[in-house]
Amino acid sequence: MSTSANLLFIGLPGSGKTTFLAALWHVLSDRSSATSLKLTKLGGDRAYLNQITKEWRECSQVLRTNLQAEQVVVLHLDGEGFGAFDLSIPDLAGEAFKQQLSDRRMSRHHDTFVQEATGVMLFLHPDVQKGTQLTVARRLEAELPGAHEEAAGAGVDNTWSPELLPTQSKLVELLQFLLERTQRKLRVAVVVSAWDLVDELGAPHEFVARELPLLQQFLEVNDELFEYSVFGVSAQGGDITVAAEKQTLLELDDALKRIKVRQEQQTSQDVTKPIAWLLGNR
Amino acid sequence: MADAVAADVKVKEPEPVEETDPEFIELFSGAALSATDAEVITLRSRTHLVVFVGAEGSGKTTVLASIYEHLNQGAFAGFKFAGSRTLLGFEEICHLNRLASGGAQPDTQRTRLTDETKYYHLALRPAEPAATRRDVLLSAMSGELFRMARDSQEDAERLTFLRRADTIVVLVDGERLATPTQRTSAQADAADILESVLDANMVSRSCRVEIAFSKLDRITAAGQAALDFLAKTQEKFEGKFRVRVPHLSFRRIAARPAPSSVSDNLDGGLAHAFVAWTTLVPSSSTDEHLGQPAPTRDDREFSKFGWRYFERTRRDP
Repeated sequence: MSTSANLLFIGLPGSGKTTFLAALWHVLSDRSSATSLKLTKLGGDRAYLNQITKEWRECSQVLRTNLQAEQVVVLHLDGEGFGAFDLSIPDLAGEAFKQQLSDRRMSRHHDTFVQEATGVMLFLHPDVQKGTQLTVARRLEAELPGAHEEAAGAGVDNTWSPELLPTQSKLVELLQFLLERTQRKLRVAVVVSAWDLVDELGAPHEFVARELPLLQQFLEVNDELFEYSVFGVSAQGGDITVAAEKQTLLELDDALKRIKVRQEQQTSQDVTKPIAWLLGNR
Repeated sequence: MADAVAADVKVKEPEPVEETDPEFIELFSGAALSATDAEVITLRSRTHLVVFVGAEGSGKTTVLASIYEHLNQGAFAGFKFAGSRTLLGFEEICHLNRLASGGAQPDTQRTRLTDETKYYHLALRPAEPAATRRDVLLSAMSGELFRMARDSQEDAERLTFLRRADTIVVLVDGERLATPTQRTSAQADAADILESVLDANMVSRSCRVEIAFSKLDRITAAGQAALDFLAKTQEKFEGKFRVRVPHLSFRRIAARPAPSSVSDNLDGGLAHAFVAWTTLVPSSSTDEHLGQPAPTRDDREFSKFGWRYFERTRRDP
């Protein structure tokens, strides 16, 4: 492959893009675990990476990227079958993608990243907004006597707005924006973040098929436009807003143990795996 | 090279970057399409146009919304979702059937008799391997629009695009049909709408026309008398329209059946209906569309959108 590659992280606010980046930098700079990709050298301005990784190591909430603080990080990497290469990853604010959906426009700045992207990582948090249909809810209530009445109605403004789009529709739309702006076939790694919350419910691709069927169909049938794989990534290791869980994570003898990456039935701590998949065999 | 440039050759000044390089790139709106925007899709690939017509409350928008709602849950009628230029438009008409709307019971936003008719786009791929992608445009229109077209040339011209319809579904309000005081009016309204559609020259020789009795669950719940009246209505329509409509068929559907009426058929017959609505009539019939030269491409329209994605996914049937 070429000696440089560019990844594009896309996802809504809170979908885990920056946390992934922080865990990635910890693993790469730690160099003690077996990973598909390894850091060849430090270099460049690492202030941003060091800042977000410090927060990650202390189990503090990694600050969400805001529109003014978008950074491009460059990693010098090597891996079996890859050779040495420089990987650029812009850490784009989830807010920017939210704005694309509501304002129906993309900044030229973002468009440049789209044009240059070697691969795309689509992040989503498992707590998806499902857009449950009243028809389905009422049917379930009829089938399951005693099922609780949904708390619909109480004080909800029933005016529609694009904000109310279910997660799957938002993500399909973000991918359609990419397709609108690029001519190349895209390789997409779908990353379900906070995977520890849903790991017991099956493999990552099963999660997407069950919780986001519109997105799953869209990725599957557009095989001339996409090649995709789904990963479950637990980069934080647990819910750090719960004091006891945070304490447990801090007491681990190696912070690497916080990380879990699942693809199909295989689970590892190799957080570089989605990136290696995106860049492999090109 | 500057040295090679002849002295009399004028060097063109570069365009100011600020004017040609705006900070933002416009993306497609995602809203329901106007006839002009819908036409762009039809010019790029063979698109199946399905038009739902019916009296107010007959279930036109509900049928349209239900098709999208089924795809939200997985493959539907043997098709998988491959994209849409109108996701926001679909979401808006589905809103009143969402928990997030705050409503207690499913509802549908009524079709507004706006100045322009609106179109909803779906790109679909049959579930079987190697099947090619299809583009479908769906539209829900008030019967009033066709009555107006009958009376006014200007209104008739607004329906020009609709004359390309591959399928016209005339919805007969099943709820009214099941109500003794309203059933004759419901029958007459539907017949009048189909008359108006025919008078407006909407129906090409290759167009499939289906009379769909909606809200079947309400008719069934009303008992045998309602079912008998439905059968009589069908018989009446058959006699009245068969001669004028070469591809006439009848169907009974419940796009959003009440929970109590749902048994094995969760989609209320909508899946079978959708397959028929998106299937061309047999090729032995004269297809007026195929006999005509391809429409000219209007570059101004194309410049409004990238449409690269559609270019790349274009598949001729």
